[in-house]
Amino acid sequence: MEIKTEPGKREKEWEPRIMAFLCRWCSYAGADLTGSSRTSYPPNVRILRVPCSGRVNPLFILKALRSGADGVLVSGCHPGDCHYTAGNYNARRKFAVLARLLEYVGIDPRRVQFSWVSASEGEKFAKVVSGVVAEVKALGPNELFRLTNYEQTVKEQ
Amino acid sequence: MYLKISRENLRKWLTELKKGAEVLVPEKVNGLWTYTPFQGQDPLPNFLNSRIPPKSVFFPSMQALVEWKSSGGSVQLRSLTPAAGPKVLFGLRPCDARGLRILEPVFSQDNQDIFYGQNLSRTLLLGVACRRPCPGSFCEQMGIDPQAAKDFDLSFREITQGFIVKVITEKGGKLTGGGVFFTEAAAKEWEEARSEIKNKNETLSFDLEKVKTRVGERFTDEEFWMRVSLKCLNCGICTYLCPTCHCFDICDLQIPGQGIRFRCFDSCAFPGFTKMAVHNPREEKWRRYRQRVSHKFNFFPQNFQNVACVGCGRCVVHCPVNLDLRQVLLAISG
Amino acid sequence: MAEARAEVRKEDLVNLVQDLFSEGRVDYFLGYQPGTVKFKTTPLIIKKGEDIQKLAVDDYGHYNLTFYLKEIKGRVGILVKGCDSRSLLSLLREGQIKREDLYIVGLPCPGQIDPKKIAAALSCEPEDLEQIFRRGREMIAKVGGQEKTVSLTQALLEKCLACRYPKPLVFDTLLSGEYTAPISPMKRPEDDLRPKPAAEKWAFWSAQFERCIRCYACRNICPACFCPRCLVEENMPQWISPLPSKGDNFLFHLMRLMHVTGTCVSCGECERVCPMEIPLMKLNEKMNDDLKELFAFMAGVDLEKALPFRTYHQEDPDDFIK
Repeated sequence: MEIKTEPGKREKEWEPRIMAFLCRWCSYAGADLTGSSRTSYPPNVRILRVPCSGRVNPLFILKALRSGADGVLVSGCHPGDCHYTAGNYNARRKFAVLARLLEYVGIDPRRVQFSWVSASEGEKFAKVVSGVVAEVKALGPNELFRLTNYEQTVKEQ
Repeated sequence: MYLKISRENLRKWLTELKKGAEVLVPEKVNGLWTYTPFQGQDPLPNFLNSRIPPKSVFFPSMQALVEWKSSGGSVQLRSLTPAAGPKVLFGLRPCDARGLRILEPVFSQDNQDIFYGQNLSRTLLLGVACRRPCPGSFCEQMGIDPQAAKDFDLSFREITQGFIVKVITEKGGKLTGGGVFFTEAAAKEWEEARSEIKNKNETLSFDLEKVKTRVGERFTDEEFWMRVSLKCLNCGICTYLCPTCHCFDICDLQIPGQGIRFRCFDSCAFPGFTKMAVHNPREEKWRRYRQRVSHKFNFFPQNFQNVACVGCGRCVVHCPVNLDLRQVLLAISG
Repeated sequence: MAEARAEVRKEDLVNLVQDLFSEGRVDYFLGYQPGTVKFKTTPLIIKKGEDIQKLAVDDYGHYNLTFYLKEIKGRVGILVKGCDSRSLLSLLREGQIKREDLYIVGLPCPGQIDPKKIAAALSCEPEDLEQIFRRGREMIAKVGGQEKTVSLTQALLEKCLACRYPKPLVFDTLLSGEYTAPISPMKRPEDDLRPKPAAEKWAFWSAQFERCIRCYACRNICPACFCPRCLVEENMPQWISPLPSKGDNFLFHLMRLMHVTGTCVSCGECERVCPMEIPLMKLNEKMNDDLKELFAFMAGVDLEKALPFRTYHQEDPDDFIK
């Protein structure tokens, strides 16, 4: 289904919705710092805190896209700094494979992005989010992987 | 009444019909024979049967039933009725048509299923008699004549120059539209156009009546069912490719404020088919296989008079492990 | 005319299985028997006392029988081709089966025949093929009473053309025969989809996944899919809807791929059994090529090497992360 307001109006007002999985120890804290430093960043991001970037199952990323997210950001601690020692190393391997798979299937890799943001990198977080939002906005709404297009389903009966 | 039509005129007639109805013919789509909208091509080239049975035209694998929208505390429900307008299904085989008729009471006995019922009543079934056996098929053992005409509105038999047509129903007769593309033919020509098919695989012949009697007796023979189902994969291929299987699941797709309720195929071969909160009565594979065979050859006939199998052979050919229903039926009857 | 490959002698196999049962070495034996439709072989699961003479090996025995080990526990004798043995190694590596429970019998394989490919090469339908047989090292197909020669490249399964492991990597005994690749190692043809732009790739896979009917044959026949409860069976919460809509089909196949990463050995069974003829091997091959490139990993050849997602290196590829 597509969420439509009035025909035409949707295009002018469209803003991408980005799902961000941030690790609790580094990236989430970094995002907090961005806020407390009064550095502004686009409000398009919905943040979901996870204990570690290694907690992020590729399923979450795919399901986010399926549920209507236009883009996904996963961010964790820098390699070597993981609170759980190796969580982000495992994540790095998983995401390397997933990113290539998504690209092979035709989902633009700019929709699903990854970053290392530490707890002190408030500025970086703002930059990363701005970058993701800009790139996804340029790509347009995620029409491809969204929940079944309702109108098309009904037409096909 | 009997008519005659050339291949070229058949093409022209279908093109003409397209103006007033949706015309579906078999065509190779992505390498698989499928019933798709007629595009003006030569209908019925080297075609045996479709991969997915034509029951999917009336009972598709994904059917939107009801839609709802909520706003400001109230909910609007909308029943999604089947698309209006007549349909013509050309190139149907006698086994698949029989399958459609077998399914009719399922979708109309207690409750009228508008999707199946209305769709079927709006569709004209134009059948083509078979001249070659399908691999794995056993239609004749199921009492279906590969040259049968009775389940169609019009029945076509191929000859060198085109087809001889038998008009079965009044609807079918009207469709032929008086003499523009068709010419009259004699009953003798219809008889002569009949092809005898050497269908029987002698080593796998079974007696249907014996199967119907003995399958009930075999119910408690656990050893037997364990043995015959041992190599089954628990996938859904046999059920999803079967012209008479009809189990379905209901599920909803929704986002905040909107949703659609769908009906989709389900398979009794899946381990979770009968799973409930506390118990799964068909946890073991042999129970599911016993259920599948017993349903088709025992319970369904008890309720609906027909055996729920037309011998099309799709399950035999496409089973990943070649679990052959004919062998099982032979073992039951023997 | 080149000499025919040495063929497996049925008596060798039958005697071997006879001995295995009489010595009480196994409770079940997994092999093949002739199928009930043309050009098909079917798995044969025999227990002690059952008719061993039914065992047969022919050119159509495509099955990777290792998937039965998910279900049939206990002491099992199994017939494996070189490529199948990689599945065994994979399962052993993942701790899903125990080596001492198995009696592994190696089967020499001349390459498995694909009737659909032969029909395509001869511009006819698979049902029109009357006979397929080898004459020396040639492949002959009979259509309309006439004998036509097809090359091995035209006749064999795609995966057989790039056969790297004709001899089982793990076995208890090898049946006598020739353990060489059917044709001198030919690299698998390039996947012409990979260099295409995103929109084309999406259009291709969209069309494919629209056809998926969610029969789960690919999952069930896969030896690498050994989860007792599959992701699609979860309904609290329901991650993947049972509806065969395009999006949910994508979700199923992509997640299945992520789940078999490191265990999939590209045996090709998923693609062979798909009733809608979706080219699933394209996805598996891509994933396995990525694993090789990223982590120098190949599934099912080494019992010692760590699985790709259970280990890491400081120098793992990082350039895609901001």
